[in-house]
Amino acid sequence: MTLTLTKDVYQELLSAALAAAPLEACGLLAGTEGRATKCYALTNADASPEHYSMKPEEQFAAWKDMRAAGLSMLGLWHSHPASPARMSAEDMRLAYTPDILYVIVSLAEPGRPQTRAFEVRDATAREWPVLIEEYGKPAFMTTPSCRLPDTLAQDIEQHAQEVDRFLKGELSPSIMKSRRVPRGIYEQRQNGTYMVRIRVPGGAIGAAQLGTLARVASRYGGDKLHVTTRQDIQIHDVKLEQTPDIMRELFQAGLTSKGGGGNTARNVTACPYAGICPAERFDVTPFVSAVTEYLIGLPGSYNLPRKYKIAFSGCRADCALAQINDLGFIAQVRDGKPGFSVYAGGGMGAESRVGDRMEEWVPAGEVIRIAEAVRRLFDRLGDRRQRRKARLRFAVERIGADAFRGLLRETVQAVTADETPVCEAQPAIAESPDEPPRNPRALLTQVEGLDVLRQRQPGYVAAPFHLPLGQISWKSLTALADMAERYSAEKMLRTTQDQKLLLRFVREADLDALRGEINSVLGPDAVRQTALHSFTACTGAAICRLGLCLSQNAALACADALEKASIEPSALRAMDIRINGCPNACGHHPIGAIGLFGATQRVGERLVPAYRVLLGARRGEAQTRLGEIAGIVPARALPSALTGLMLDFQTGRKNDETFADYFDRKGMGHFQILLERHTTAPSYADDPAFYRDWGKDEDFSLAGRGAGECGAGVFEVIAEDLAAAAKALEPTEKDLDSGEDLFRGLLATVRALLITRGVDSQDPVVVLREFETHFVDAGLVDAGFRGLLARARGYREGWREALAGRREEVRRLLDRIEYLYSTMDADLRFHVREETSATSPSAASAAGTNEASDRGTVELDLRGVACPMNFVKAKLRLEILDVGATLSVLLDDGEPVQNVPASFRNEGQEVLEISALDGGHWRVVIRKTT
Amino acid sequence: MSLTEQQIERYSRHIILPEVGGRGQGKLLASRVLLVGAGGLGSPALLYLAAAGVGTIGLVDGDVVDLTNLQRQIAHTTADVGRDKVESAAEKCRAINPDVKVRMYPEHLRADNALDILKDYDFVLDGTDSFAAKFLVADACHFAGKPYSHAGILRFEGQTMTVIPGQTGCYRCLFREPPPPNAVPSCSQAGVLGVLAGIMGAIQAAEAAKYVLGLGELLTNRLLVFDALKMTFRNIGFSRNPACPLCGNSPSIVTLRDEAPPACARTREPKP
Repeated sequence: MTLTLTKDVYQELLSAALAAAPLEACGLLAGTEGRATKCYALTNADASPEHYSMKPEEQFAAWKDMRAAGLSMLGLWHSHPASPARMSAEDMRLAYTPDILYVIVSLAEPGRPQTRAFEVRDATAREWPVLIEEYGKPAFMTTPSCRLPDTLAQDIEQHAQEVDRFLKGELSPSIMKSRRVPRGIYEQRQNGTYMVRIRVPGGAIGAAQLGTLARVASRYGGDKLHVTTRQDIQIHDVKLEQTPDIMRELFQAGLTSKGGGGNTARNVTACPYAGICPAERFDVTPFVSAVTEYLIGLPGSYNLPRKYKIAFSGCRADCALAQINDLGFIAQVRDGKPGFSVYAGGGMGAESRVGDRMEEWVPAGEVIRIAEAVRRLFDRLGDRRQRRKARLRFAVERIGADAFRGLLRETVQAVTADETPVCEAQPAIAESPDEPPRNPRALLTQVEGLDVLRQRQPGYVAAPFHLPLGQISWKSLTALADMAERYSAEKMLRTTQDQKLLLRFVREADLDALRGEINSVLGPDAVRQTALHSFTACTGAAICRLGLCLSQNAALACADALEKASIEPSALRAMDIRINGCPNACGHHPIGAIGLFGATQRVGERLVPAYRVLLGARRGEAQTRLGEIAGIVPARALPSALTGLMLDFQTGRKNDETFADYFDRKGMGHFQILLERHTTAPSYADDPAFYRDWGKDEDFSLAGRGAGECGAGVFEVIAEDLAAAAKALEPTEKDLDSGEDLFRGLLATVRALLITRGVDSQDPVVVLREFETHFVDAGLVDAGFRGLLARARGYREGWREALAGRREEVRRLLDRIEYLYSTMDADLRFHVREETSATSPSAASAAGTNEASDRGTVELDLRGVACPMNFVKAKLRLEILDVGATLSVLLDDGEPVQNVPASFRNEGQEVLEISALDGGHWRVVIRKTT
Repeated sequence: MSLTEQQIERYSRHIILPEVGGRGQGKLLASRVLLVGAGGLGSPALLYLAAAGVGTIGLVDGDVVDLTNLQRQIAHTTADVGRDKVESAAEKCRAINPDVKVRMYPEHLRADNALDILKDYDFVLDGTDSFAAKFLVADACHFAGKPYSHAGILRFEGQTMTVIPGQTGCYRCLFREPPPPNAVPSCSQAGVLGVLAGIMGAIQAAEAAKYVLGLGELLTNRLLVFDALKMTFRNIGFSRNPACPLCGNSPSIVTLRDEAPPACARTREPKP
């Protein structure tokens, strides 16, 4: 005999118990034939953490309700906030109602609530099993829906086991990282806190789903959630041990973080106005779902060379930036049939690139096959050895668009032969879409004080709500979800690519009421156009390990300045300022009307946090253009620089032209001059604030960053240092051997790569010493340079002739440093080849290798082989190879992949790679060094 | 050197060792070790060497298994009483490891057969129980140029050393000649704690393995002395003795003879 609780009842039970904690909660369960369909949460009159009692009047009311609904009382429940789910002596004493069950919910184990039911007869308790209906089976959204495959449930359980092992110390941090990142779980800048990135296909999320998400965030995470430019929603500040429960609860609601991060097929994005936009050709949402469903269940989506991003736009305005994704689809109609033009090889970040058109038109049903074909090509062509150049766009650039198109067509044929499905969706073709298509931002009108878009469905409007810096508290999110339930006829919301939440299918008549509610829940700023609404910012260095600058603080400071300057709303509305804390393009700065990304300036010995300004970006099919660098501005000067740009735009703008058009009309030179005034930072003595980032009291520094934390930003700094060094060493008309120039040049040279060793100092003594330790002693730089370093010290101590005639030598050192830098990989190791000249001994450092490294890799499949035999066999194989050769071994998950790499390292062999494969296996690549 | 699946599994614990690997195992499988004496010291040694995969094990022992042996000669069982020791021992070797080839010499080592037997081996273990035999082994190995491990046990003590003829000090450098008869009791007279055979015999096997593998430091130029009651090991260092009768500058021993105790003898046995 079992007590069955429906999913809803169980969740209500848990919610009530959690809400009352640390006090006991209590209530009744009603239903028929052992199946509880209604949960009554009553007041605990005792208001105590250790006992409960119910109010008679509440009980009566509940019973009346049950009778009216034809239900019988099945059980009496209460919670044990801190003790196990067992009948205590007092519980037993109070169990005098026969023929019902006593249900106890224990919250003693954080994240693992326990629910048990007992029948009490003759002063003895007998347990009944409790079955929660549909637990473990996800609830699906109504169409347009995305069905998550059942395999994700098992994946969650596997994740739970891995977390468990990791916390017990049985799984190394690097293995744990490689497992959790493809599941969308990232560690934040503060060790031990994590972020879960939940994918939202096309940005479409149901009101109920959003409510669940908010509830999960309230239970496990920090106050603020973040909506990303890829339409994902992030929960922050969670503990790793909570992630399995988070994933389970989300999965029940049809949500997942799988593929939220890592070298995987990421969230498929679409314009958030899909289905309602006056300019769209047809609703692309079903195609987003189809591609997502296909890729998400494929093991091959999780060990790609790098991330794989796909986007769908409903028309040529290309609001979803299909042309700047690895794969993009732009809706086109031909002969009354829905189809897409196909773009590939686009992307933003290091070396942003606009994609090439691969197909002018394909029938819409082909999207799954094309997505799969590109996936296979990416898998094959992506450069796995060089993380910085592993994205698809580098491969397309390398082989050329025409060659890629040829390969794509062949692969689509192969994919078709493999019976990859066609997408069956039959969207309605829009009757007379806007021509030319315009970005909905330009179509917003004010109705009842709200900026809304009039949908192509008459009588309905869509209202975007700006989330400042992409953040929203879970309380506000809950309220928004509730509002969506009541005001949105489709009962859904959309996240956008510019950090807004979109409420659609709202009746115009309801707008006033809606505005009132928004006002009280999100505050007046949510419905008022403020300067901050024009900003999209990444999470910045406060949270992100790769961040250089604190982009969010900068955004706030700039928005504040723009408000104070009373920039006109029309100008603000036309502006799209995208600010990023580093050269990575999470904030999409290459495509913003004004794009800003974090950088640094060297002023003397110090670093100034700064932003490079990109202008001239333009969107639209066949017109997409990425912004170009117009200048660099110290972070502290950014507000005045932006104010200058905005005032200029406001004054010079003609006929409501877009900023892109204004830029084209004025030309880059105009803006370079505008920014010039702000470029130079004052000296430290004059204004030390410039040497600190927004919101910080300490001087800006890169010291202490570890490998893996050096994102693209640090490479920038190094490149700058090297450029400065080269400049200082250029012969000038002055005395060729000006000691000061040489000294400066030498210092810049030796300092350039110290940052990769976590050293960022002004003090020449420290710099010279650290360089000697990390580079000369380590064998990366020839010991012959010690003399030069000693002379530099001597120069500093007053020996003016110390560097006389040494320009060539300093130049050679710079050459060596530049060479090392050129071989540096993303983990800050130098891959040095044997040198024929006497410039350097072969590097004995972590990654030193000889020419023999390219002897081809021997493969060995040890899947299914247990420890220690896998290591034994791998070792025997390696023994017969030459030094420098590589061995690629396939291993099972668990102990094999935990032990084998460590055993090889123990022997002094070099582990080049440990990567996850389909089916839970691993590839480990070893280079023989001894 | 290619190992079969079975061998890879059998020797996996060797192969895992960074210092050994498949190569090292190959060396073991190609090596030839001679055990003079398949009794107390020989028993554990031959079992461990068989387990280790020494390719050829030679066993020299003219005795049959006796009940009094079973207290310490763990290669032999009650059922083996009355059997030739070499046969009993060979059977156990093969049972442990069929890779091992065992050559049996059911006779005692003597001056007239020593060099013949020794020539086919790479390393020799002295597991004999009389001074005469020990000195014979020492001399024979010197003349044959074979590295060997010497060991002896009595009561609660044991001693061992390793000799590389021509390079290190030898047995006679330290112990010039056998002690007078009855000056030092034998096991049957004084008794011995059985496990001492195990401890010292295993150390000898370790020395053989190290020699074959080329690993570590051998017990050369030192006498390792073990006291089971105190559980202490002591190293008594010595060097090649220029006056050594066997390997010194003017050696007086130039042929093998079955040692007879000298007419007048002072015991030079250093007391541990």
